[in-house]
Amino acid sequence: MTPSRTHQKHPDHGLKFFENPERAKTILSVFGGVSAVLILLATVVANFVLK
Amino acid sequence: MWDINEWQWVNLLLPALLPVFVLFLVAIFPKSQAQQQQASPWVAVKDGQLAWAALGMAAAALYELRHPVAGAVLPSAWETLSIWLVVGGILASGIFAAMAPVFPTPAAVPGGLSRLWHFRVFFISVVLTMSVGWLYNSIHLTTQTATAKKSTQGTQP
Repeated sequence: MTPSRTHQKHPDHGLKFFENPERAKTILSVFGGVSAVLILLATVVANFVLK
Repeated sequence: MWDINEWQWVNLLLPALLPVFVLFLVAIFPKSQAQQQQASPWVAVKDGQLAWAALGMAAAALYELRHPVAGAVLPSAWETLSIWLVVGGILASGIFAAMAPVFPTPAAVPGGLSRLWHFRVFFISVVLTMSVGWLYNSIHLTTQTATAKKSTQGTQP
């Protein structure tokens, strides 16, 4: 009898994000940095182009 | 360019910097070594906690955007972009503020690492807070101040 797909999964279902704090901080920093730059650029467009 | 008015002091600088100044004041009082480390202003911001202030600014900006002063004339494209920006700011600063302190950064910089890289979460939180603060400032000036001048002009004889 072949095991179902659920049984074939890795037993550790924890978030990989939490495993390496340094990598998590890098991912968060990239996320925050990209968000900040997009907000900055779009605010410039909103104020100097659309208004 | 660097003139800071009362509104900016109260709504932008105070929420971001007051907790840090309070901790500077706390430093005057005698404390144990453990308390001294925990009460350091640097500890209060190094893990991206400034993003909480950004979250408050973005939420307040959304309120001001939805409640402009009477008679306000807002360009449609500007209003649409601003709403999306504010929602993005709320999500970004909320996620950053909640997640960054989960991974605390040691106060001591390990050998071989630059300060900029070691404290990257702090520096990014500063940039994010300044971006959202500027967005909030521009929304306030457009929805609350510019039209207030217009309505004042209308009442003058």
